[in-house]
Amino acid sequence: MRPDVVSNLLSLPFFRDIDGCDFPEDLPLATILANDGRILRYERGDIVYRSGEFNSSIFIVLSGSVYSATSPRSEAAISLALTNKGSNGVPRSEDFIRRLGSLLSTPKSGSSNSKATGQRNTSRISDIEPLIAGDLADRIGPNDIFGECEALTSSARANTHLAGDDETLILELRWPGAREIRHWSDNFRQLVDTRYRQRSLWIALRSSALFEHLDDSALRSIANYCLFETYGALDWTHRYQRERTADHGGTHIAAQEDIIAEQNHYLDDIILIHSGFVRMSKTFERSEKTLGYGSPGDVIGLEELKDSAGSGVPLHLRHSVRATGYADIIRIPARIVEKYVLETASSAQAGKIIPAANSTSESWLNFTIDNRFINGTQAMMIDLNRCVNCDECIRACAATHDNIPRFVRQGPSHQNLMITHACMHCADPVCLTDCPTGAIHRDAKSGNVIINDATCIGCATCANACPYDNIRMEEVRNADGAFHIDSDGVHIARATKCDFCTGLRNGPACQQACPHNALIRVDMRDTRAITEWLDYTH
Amino acid sequence: MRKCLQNIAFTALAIVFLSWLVRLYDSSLRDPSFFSGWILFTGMAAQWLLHFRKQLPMLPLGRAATWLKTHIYFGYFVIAVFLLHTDFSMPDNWFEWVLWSLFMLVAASGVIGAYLSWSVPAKLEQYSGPKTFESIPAIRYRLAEKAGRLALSSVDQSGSLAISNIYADTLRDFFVRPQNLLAHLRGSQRSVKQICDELKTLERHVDEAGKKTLRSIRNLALAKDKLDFQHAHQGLLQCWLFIHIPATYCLIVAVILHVSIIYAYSSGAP
Repeated sequence: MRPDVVSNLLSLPFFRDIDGCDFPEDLPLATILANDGRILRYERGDIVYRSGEFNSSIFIVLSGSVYSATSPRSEAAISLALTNKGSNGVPRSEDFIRRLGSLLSTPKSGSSNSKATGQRNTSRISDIEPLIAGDLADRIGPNDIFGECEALTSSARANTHLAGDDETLILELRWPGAREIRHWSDNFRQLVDTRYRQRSLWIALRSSALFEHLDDSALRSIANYCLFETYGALDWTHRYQRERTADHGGTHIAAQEDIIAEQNHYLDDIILIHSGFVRMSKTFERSEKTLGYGSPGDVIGLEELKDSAGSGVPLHLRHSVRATGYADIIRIPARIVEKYVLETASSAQAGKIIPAANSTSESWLNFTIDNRFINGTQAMMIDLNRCVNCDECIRACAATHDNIPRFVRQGPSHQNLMITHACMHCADPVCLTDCPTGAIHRDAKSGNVIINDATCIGCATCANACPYDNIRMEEVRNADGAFHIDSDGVHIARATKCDFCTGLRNGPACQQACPHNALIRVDMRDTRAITEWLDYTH
Repeated sequence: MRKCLQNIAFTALAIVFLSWLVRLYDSSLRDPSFFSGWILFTGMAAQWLLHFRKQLPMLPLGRAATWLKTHIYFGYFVIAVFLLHTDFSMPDNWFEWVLWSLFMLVAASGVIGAYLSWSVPAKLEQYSGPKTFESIPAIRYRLAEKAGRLALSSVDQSGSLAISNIYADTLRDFFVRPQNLLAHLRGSQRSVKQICDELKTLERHVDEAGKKTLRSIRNLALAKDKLDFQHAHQGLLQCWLFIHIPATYCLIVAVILHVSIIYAYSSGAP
């Protein structure tokens, strides 16, 4: 942004509460805004972003208003309005040519993030009155923020936002800038964190299968009784690395995790996991035996509550719950669940909301939880009983990435399964949190974690933050193969990692190229997919 | 397993169908070797497509695993076509011998390779070891260095030459280069047991520090033996391709020559 625009911005009411004196001299607020902010102008009905998109900016409404879809019903209404209009459709012939082109081209890192390149989603709904009149959208007025929930957790947008007035002006703050302002300004941090807790609570309740039979007014009254709690820190990686290198084994790692609820304690409330992961364990001999893990959307304590209701069985939690790294949870009072869920939900629904048991072996659970592999949504797993070390996976990776393979075919193993050092495109990607330029980001459509080579400055922050050692610093060479060297004589390096072949239509080249079906890219929580793959025979 | 049986049954059916076709062609008083020859030529060309699939990972050509599976089963079909083409008889002249030998070499190396690719990874998994063939020399060097250092330190510790002598006489060669590769392929562990026995026998003649050193060397010997096991089996997995691929290229040249010669002297027979 130009300096005059920034100074105008600083004179607006929102920025009066942010004290410029809190910022260090070498990083003033004006510089952050100039580098990481941009002003977007919308007309009434313009979509700011759709649910399911990945974008880690925080938005500040400067003038006009924005409406946020409140429920799946409102999302459906927006989708229907957009489909009828066909506003974001691409002509079929153009689409065919684009697809043909993508078949023949190799992916380019960081090229798929339309937001990062300054393009805007220009979809528009001509008539948003039914949404507003039908109480399907919440209004966000001037000087308020939105988008903070997904920015803090690097997750997909939970609900669609659209402009409520003509000439709506919004300041989009990219995550690196928002992170710095949140770091230096107490007021901004307070505002972001308060909104985060309020909205996350609502999003979690609304998206939980536990309450899908309830209307918005009942949900709002439930929200008043719930408690939003955070365990661990967003940048949990350094603490985890210390625990892991302490060399006391898995028991030590489990013992270091923040405890959310203890076994045999009276169950005042059930626990709904909003983000992050938790370990469920039980006292066994002199230590804790891992029983399973919980991920976003899982509910803990419901089984105990069901068994206790009307049977006189004391209401005690059967296992301990610990945050593995970072977890946001919502405590829902037991009496609320009894009133709104156990008494009213159908038996089919009650069956659906009981958390799925982790039926795998304890050693596999220990391996995946202690190493935090449950975080991986596209982990590269190799069956050593089938792998013939032919290196076709590496050759295919190199062939699609300028002859530089993006992974190392080595890594920790459990029995015959090896988790290689390839980016797992984590559900909770800690590598994104501290990137100073935002070069490492999620692809807007697929959510895969990719690096924009043009903005990577080679600071290695992401490589150091990755708990799995899956990001490597590669020295940059010119067309003749010579190293790029800076003015101090130091080789210039750049972070490289697996980009999941973003842009290739046939999926990751490594998996496609394995002639023995010994390699799979898989969500580590998808035990069914893993089992099916292991059962594969020629 | 069911899928595997289905594939075998399908291949067998295709072979039976083809032999019926060849017989039908023969009964029409035409030379069936032209018919089976062109099917064989097409089949071999189709087998070669796997190579192009591997070279073009960026194109959506399906999974290489499916291609390989097809390559293997189609390979069995091509072998049957070859036998029909040669009428189950041995070659008559030196050029036919070259063709026959090359085809047999490609087919046999392929069948053996398919078996090795199926069986060896599970054997490798029995002994945890390096995951890449290329890293084996570096690990071997580190083990040899450690063993040498232990043997030398025993002289300083106890003033006895017993350990350093056994290292120089027996163990040095064992540690510095790949050993007993054929024995590993046979599944024999005689050599490493012999070394361990020798080290254990020596234990009764040395002091406490010497015993500790010998135990450490024994552990290193066991680690080296596992490394040799990996070397032998991983090497085998790489080795069959060094026969299969060059022989395939020679066969392509020989087949082109064969077709040219046949048509040059056939006066346009069907």
